[in-house]
Amino acid sequence: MTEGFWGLTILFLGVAVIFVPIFRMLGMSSIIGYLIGGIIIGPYVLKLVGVSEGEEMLHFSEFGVVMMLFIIGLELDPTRLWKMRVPILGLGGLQVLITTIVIWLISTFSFGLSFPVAMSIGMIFALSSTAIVLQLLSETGLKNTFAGQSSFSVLLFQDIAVIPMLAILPLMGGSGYELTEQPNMLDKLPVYMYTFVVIGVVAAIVLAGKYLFTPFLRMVAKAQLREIFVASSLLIVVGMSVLMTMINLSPALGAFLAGVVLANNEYKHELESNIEPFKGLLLGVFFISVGASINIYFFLKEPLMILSITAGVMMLKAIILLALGKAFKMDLDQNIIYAFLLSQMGEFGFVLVAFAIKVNILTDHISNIVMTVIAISMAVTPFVIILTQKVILPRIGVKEKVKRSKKQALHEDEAIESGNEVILAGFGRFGSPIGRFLRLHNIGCTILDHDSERVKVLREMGFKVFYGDASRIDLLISAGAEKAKLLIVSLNSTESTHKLVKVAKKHFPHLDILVRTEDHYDTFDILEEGVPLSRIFRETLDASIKMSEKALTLLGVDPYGAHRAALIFRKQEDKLMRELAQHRHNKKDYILAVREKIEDMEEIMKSDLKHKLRSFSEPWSSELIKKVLEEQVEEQDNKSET
Amino acid sequence: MKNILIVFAHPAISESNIHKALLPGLAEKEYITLHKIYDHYPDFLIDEEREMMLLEAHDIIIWQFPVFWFSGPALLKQWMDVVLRFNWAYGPKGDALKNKWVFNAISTGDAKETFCKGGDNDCSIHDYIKPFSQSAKLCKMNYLPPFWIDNSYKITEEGLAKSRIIYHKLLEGLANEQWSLEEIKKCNLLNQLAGGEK
Repeated sequence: MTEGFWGLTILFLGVAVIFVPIFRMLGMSSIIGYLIGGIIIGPYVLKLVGVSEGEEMLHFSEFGVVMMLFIIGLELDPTRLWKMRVPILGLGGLQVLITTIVIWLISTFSFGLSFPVAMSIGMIFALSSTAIVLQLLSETGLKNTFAGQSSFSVLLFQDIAVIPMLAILPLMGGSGYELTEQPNMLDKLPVYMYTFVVIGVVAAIVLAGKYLFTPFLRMVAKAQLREIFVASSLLIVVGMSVLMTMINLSPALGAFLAGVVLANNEYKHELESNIEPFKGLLLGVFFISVGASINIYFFLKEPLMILSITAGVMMLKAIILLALGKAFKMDLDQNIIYAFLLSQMGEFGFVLVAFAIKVNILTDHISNIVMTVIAISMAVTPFVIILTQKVILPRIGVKEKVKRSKKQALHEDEAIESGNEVILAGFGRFGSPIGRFLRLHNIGCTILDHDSERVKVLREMGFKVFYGDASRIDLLISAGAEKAKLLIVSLNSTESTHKLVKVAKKHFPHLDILVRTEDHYDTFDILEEGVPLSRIFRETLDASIKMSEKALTLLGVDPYGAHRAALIFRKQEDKLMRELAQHRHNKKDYILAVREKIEDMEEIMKSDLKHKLRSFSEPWSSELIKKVLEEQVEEQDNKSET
Repeated sequence: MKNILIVFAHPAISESNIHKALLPGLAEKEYITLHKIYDHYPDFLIDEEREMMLLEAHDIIIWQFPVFWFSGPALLKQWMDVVLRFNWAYGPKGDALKNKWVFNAISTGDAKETFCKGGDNDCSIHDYIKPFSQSAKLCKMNYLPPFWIDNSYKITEEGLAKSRIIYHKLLEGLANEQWSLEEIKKCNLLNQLAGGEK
């Protein structure tokens, strides 16, 4: 047992510093690190923290959750919210509602739990982990896919739904829980007056956010003392929470409200970055405390039961998400990703569990099961996603494609019959102008794209677009690669570009290929596949040269001269690429070569420019020409004399 | 009052001697539209519709340029190729430019004396700008004698200032219909109308 405040501080900080980096290295969420650390120092393993101390810390660190809600509120820009209202309310609302109800029913009928217990478990399990999913989204690059955006909407709804959940829990609370722990000045008021006060306070917060906080923060900012700004940020959050507690509402709601009110404030980012470290640290302590309260022996006694509950709940959540995705007309592959992405339980689950214990709804026994289940589901999420992407998706994806190609058989026949001369792979921001340009010139174009949502939209817009990975030979054949003349590769991944060029060169040698590339290195890759440089287009090169041309013009250079200089530069750039391509495999050599060549090139360019652009001011008078000639003759004479 | 369109073709005005001196102050006159085609179309992509509208909107057209290789700069030729369309500028229905006045305002590196039989340039400036006068004729326009500043490599600051005054006076007079068409056509060079050499 560690005594005193400092001992506990060292212990908790130590856990954070040791466990979190280890779990991050293993590719897991920091939350898992905190939890496991908490379990290990907890009363059931190393016994460094006692039961009562753990509970105290839990109590204290709950304020991290309040701060988290403040930050979530800050990030809710009302206009953005409005734009996303359909997925948020529809997808998110239904997900929370249906999952809660289904789990409540199962807990009631299969496990015979009482209403408050079953209901709170339903709410706890309905929530997913914002922290883990957002991290996974950015790690796997799924952030901007339809699945990613839908996940975000659902998470957003869940984060907001926590507030009413926290409000409902005490209402269902068991005996022995006082709604307010300290005597409250509102206790004696009649109900209608109480309602009136609540509405008044909320309105006051909204008004204060508009007319009081901003001038207040402006004044503080003028003082130019960072710590005072931090203090006032904390003051707002703590103040709001206390105010809310005074009128018997959850402090989280107060913080959230303050956040939303300040979302359009000019100090939004400053506030966010001030609160963030406190939030992070307190949440860390919170999760350690949660870990410390999990009875690990309990899991070791009945691992099978816990694991099967975890698997069961995750499957259930995924199935509900899948059905909702289907109802919202999501494509199957996107739907699967998003369903599994959100199938775990989340950090807010712990918050609700802790709260439910406090209001005497959950017993130690049940809360132990629930927390262990949440923790395990969070820990396995990264693996579930890997499994989904590598194993499930390819199979289901293929099935979907078969289904699709049946649906699209008509279109494909059309494509082949009309004998499109061009296959355009990739119809994103680079490919779409190409497609439009060719269509304008009545050139038949078979378009392949791997973003199913984009395909859907483009089809609705009347483009003949086919879904699929363009580097697959069978897809290329069905797109008419055997009869086509030209393949335009404008995929936005350099790897798929390389793969497609390789396949096309090997299996369809008659095809002319135009390739879009990103940088020097992938241009070299494509050059090595035997595509000439004149058919490789570095994505931003022309735009940046155009921009430099404009810059010259704005600085007073003759527009035509600037235009020619840009054309000359463009040509030299190609020459440079060709020369550098020979050195690319030797890294040292390459850097040296780049330096040399660029220096060389600049020299050449300088004289070249002078030479080429001088022509307009060259002497054009017979007299002058004669003079120049005479001078040259004289010079030669001088030379021969010496 | 007549209005004037200057179709100005110089690929590098900053390196010019004569034209840099002639131009200042012209664009500000309300009866003059100064249209620098090299600045406007550095990529040679001429907007024909716009050019046709400009031509239709003006009474007097000036092709102003330095003489390169006994002719105009390349973009001016391109301009003629794409703008002077069949049945608009010429042909049975091509009356868009009919009776408009047009002339060349040019500069040469060589002195006037070299433009004669037996001189360095062997024939007159009028012979060299024949393609322009003949084009004007095809377009049923009134082709006026040229305005010409010579000796561009030797001209003094004083000479430049004088040329500018003459050119501006000429354009003002033309806009104000100071001279009759017969009077103008009798000149060898337009310079003389505004007090310049013959």
